[in-house]
Amino acid sequence: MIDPASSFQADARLSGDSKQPIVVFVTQQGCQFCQQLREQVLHPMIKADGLKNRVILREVSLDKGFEFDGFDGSRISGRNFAGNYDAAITPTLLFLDSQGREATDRIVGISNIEYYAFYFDKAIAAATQTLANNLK
Amino acid sequence: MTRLLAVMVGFCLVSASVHATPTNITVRVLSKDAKFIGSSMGGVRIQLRDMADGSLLAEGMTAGETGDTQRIMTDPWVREKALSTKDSANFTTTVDLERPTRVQLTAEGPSSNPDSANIVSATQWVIPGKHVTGGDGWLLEMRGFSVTANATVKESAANDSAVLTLTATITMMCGCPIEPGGMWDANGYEVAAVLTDVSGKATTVPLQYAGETSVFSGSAELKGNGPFEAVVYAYNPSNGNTGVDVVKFNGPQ
Repeated sequence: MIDPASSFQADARLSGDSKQPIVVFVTQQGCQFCQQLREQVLHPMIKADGLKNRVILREVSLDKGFEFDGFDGSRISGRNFAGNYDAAITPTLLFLDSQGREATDRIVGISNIEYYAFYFDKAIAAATQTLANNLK
Repeated sequence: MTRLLAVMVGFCLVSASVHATPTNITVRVLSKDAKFIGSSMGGVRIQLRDMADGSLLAEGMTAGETGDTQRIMTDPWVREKALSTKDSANFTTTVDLERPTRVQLTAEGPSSNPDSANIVSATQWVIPGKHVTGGDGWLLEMRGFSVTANATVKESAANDSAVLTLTATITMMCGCPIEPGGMWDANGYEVAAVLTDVSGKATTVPLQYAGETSVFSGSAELKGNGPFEAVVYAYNPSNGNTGVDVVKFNGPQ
């Protein structure tokens, strides 16, 4: 349901055209909090069209063998991609602009799952505002 | 005819006895050891209930400014001196009361950071037409700090280790800033994280002022994949005021 990262170059073009932030969901096998976040927050939001036309959501796994094209077009592992952001802890949500820069504070881990959507919405709004400000 | 008159008189008496009288109530919520909680923190959710039956009389959010710092924090306080000024955050409502009512006031907030929100409640009798607006109105004190924790991890392939850096943005519940030597002095608070791993072993990681207003940080080596729980807290030993944020996560494999 959440698209795994494939090409951040393509996502960057999409972000530039749509003015939507790229949200990177950093996960790994055996991460119970990732599963909780996926099942209790992200999937319900996707089902309810709560993220449609707001963000470009991609999953990046830290697990061995997971690779994709980075923002510069070269192949990169999920572990190295997350490492470039010091984000190799899961779950992490990164909010990136079309240049791959963080557009607002990341959300690391889970606190109260019932409030997660509130903070996620708030971060999306802040990241979207940053993208809009960058255009001015 | 007599019977009709009696019914009409009776009806008038009943009408008079249940006549609702508009009664104004102003609520303000003061952050412990700081200023009013208002729009800058999303306000505080206010509910007024009739204690007799639990019915909701009014609800809303406090809105407005945090208030005059000198008036609240440093001027000498004397009896009946209001801490609030015209723009100080408040929730003002008019409730229609038919009889003296014991009212329960509940305040929950700040709304901009529900993870840090606390609840404070009080009761008082309110008489129809006797407004509760004088001075600061109905004043509550909200304890706590607004704490928002975040984390990064730096891996070193050379020695196969990972260093976790916890960063916390900590303000008073009004959003009032904390910095060394400031009105809310960073040196007066104990800020730390209790990092617990899957075995239950807990390590306390002190967080120091990070050079940016209201931001504290500290680092610890992350051993294993977890899961981990970091309880980041701010504590004022002089008055017991405490705020917490909790982050649960897995480290890198």
